[in-house]
Amino acid sequence: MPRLLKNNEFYQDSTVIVTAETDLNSAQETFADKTVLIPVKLWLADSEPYKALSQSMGLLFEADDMPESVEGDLSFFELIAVDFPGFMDGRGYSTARELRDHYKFEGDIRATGDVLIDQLFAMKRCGFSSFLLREDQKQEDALKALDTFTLRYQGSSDDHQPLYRKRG
Amino acid sequence: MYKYDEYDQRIVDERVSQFRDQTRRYLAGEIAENDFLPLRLHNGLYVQRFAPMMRIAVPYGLLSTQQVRRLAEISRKYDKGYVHFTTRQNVQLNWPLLEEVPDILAELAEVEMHAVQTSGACIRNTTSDQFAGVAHDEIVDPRLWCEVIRQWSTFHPEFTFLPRKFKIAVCGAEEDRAATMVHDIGVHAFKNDNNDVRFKILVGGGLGRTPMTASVIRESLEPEYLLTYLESILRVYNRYGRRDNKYKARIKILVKALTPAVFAEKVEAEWEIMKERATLLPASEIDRVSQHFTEPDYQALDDLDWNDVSLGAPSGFQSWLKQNVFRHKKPGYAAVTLTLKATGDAPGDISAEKLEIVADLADQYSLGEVRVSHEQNLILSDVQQNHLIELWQKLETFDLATPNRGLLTDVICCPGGDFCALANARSIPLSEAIQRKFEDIDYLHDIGEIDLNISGCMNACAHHHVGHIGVLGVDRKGEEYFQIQLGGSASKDATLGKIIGPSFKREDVPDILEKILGVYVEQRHEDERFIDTCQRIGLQPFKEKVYAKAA
Repeated sequence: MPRLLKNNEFYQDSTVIVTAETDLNSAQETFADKTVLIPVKLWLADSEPYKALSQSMGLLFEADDMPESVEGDLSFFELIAVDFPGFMDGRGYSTARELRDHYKFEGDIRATGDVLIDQLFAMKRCGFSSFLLREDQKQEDALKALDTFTLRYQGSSDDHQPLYRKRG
Repeated sequence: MYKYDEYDQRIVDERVSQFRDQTRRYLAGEIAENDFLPLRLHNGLYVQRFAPMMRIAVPYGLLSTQQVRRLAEISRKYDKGYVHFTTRQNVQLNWPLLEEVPDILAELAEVEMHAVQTSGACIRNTTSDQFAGVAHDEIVDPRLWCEVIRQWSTFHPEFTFLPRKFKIAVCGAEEDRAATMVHDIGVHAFKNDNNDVRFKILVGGGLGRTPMTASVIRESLEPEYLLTYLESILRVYNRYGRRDNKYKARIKILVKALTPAVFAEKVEAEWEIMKERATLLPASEIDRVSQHFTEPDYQALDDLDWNDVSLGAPSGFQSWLKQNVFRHKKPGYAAVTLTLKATGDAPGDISAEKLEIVADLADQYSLGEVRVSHEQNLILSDVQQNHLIELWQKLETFDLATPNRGLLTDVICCPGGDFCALANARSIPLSEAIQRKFEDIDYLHDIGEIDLNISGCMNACAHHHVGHIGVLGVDRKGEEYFQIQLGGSASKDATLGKIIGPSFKREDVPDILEKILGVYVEQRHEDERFIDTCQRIGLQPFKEKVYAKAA
């Protein structure tokens, strides 16, 4: 079942994550038309081999990766995936907000890993634009969860105006 | 007090729908136990020793009498007809059913109440001075700022899964009655030389296993920056706070590891980038919220002469007047504390019937408002002095006039092993044993002001580190023992108590306390409080007496 939620629709995930062991020479064939996700730590160690790839590229943040470490390179990417190792590890929320608000990243920011329905609303508010749901999550409930609240007190990356700037 | 508008109401109503749906999915087996855990915690629902425990938010300790009556009704309909007030000004039900919690939340929402973020690793209820707005020593009314922080922190999407729970306290008076020095963030509101409101910001206080007092990271902050500054602190904590060990995950550990100066630098760097964003508080919002905390129409009265009042009063009134009546900023008025510490009652517990009586009395004698203090007592904040005798007589009838506010028997106590799954020891029976031993009110008044705090485990819900006398339940090979510490204080110059030595069995603790108090009586200077004697003479004289070998 497709579990990538984006723009209120479900798609098959078409990304592949590279590791230190991945043989980039055969990448063109192995990865074919997939989007290649490069972990921040590998990119920082040596980004040159990846820049030679012809596939579209995304950057993969683990929970302890800091956006400022790749500030100058963000324009290489149309997709940034932020991994949640467990759904109660909330570092990814700050990562997404910094990418959107400080570094003005305008591409797709995707939540991956332990992504559950009941956190989607907060993720959306922090600037996430797509969600790779954990396998057991129900599509129909996920769509509903994106609209849990029609109002919010504080500004965030989805809408910077707090309620107090809207109250009559 | 703050009244919801259509926006506030819609937000709590949508919260009820959200949790109703989550509960339905959980009960249908669609949400796993572990995935449901933080969802219920964010709605105040713990699973305790015998049943779930539900913690309802009382924002900065303020309740209308309508809300008090609703709590009484709910406790009858869904629980066993009583509630428990906590050390963070909230209120708990000890026996609700999970299936009924959505209905309880719906009934609360009808009177502008909720259980949002009363547990879990998120920003908890902001606490404050129970005498906010009426205290004679107030410089800035903290309620406006508490409400602003409440709204900002409610469902803040970035800070829903912090490394650990996060508590903010605000005070604006000479005396710190909100224990701000032992909170994750303490906000001290004051006025600068131009009479403008400013905030001093402290971080990294906390109790638990590693008690610490907070450090100042900014001496003076303009009100419009309050929220962007708090947001910067929270972001630094969310990014860098430890997540590998829950006992090292509070912000105090991060502040200590980095040093307060380095932590402050990180906050300021973050703040430089975001301080001018839309979160900047406009004057219009400060104005709007402050409209809810304007001064009521007090009558023009004169202060009464207490000696005259006492002369004509029945016996018993005088000790209550001395102990439970607090000086009001308006002449002719007083704030009255109803301690929930009558001997035999679990500290902080009150029955539905008594809640309704308190609501009636608050309508009749105060201005329809009830306050909750972190000492787990209730306050009628605006009583005319010429009604005090009449009010006292009614309180007496209902056993609500125990004249022990601030005294030894005004024990701050956690639910302990009788209810809580974390506790090592039962704190309520100890509290009762102490109350029984020290029932002589003249002796209590002679001993004077003492904060006695009893926690059933090192999570320190009863803040034993900052009690003048702190008692901690420990487990020694399956047996309940109690460790005693002396010299703690929760005031602005907060200090942490020191352990006097090996722990004691429960039945011995009241006698040990008597020995400790004996040392104080022997050594005190005239008019010296217990805590001051303690800090002057140190632990040694107490140790010698307590651990003296029988001759």
